[in-house]
Amino acid sequence: MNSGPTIHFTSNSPRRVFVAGLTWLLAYLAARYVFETMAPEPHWDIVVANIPVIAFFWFVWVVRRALKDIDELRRRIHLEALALAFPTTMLVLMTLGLLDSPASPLGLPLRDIWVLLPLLYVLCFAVVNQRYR
Amino acid sequence: MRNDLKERRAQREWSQGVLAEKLGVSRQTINAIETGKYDPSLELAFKIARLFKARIEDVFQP
Repeated sequence: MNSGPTIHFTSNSPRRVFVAGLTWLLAYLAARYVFETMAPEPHWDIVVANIPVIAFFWFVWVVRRALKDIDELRRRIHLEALALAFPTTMLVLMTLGLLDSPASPLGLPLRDIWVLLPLLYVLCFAVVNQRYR
Repeated sequence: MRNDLKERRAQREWSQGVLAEKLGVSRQTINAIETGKYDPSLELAFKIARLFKARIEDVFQP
């Protein structure tokens, strides 16, 4: 069996993920700003709406690279956090759907509900991480 | 799965950090294995056994 290269743990991976995530968020906010203030012409609106998509693909690429850098326990923790966060997110959205109300638990407008998803993931990650401490 | 990783590490007077570095994993991983919270992958189990010059079934018991 190939023992594989030694993994060197650096603080670069989390920082890169953070920067990529922040870039994605800023791209989204910039696109939103354009829509709210400039009302782009037809066809241009599609271009503007797709600006965050480019940042998203970069984010996914950075996350995939970061996953290769971390060790197997940390990978397991992320997997369990996802397994917890995904159905929790579904539950939140289903409940909001049942209520059929634009009001959300945090008082967020419907278009900002997505903020709950990373928050739930971070929360689930903290819970799972605690189990392996 | 039970293991005697902690005893073997203590015999060599290695800290968790030292063992983690030798195996290329985090200290949290070593701690989780020693406390039985996490069962390592087969690849890591082989690396551990090889490092301690033991058979894998001597280090890990079902």
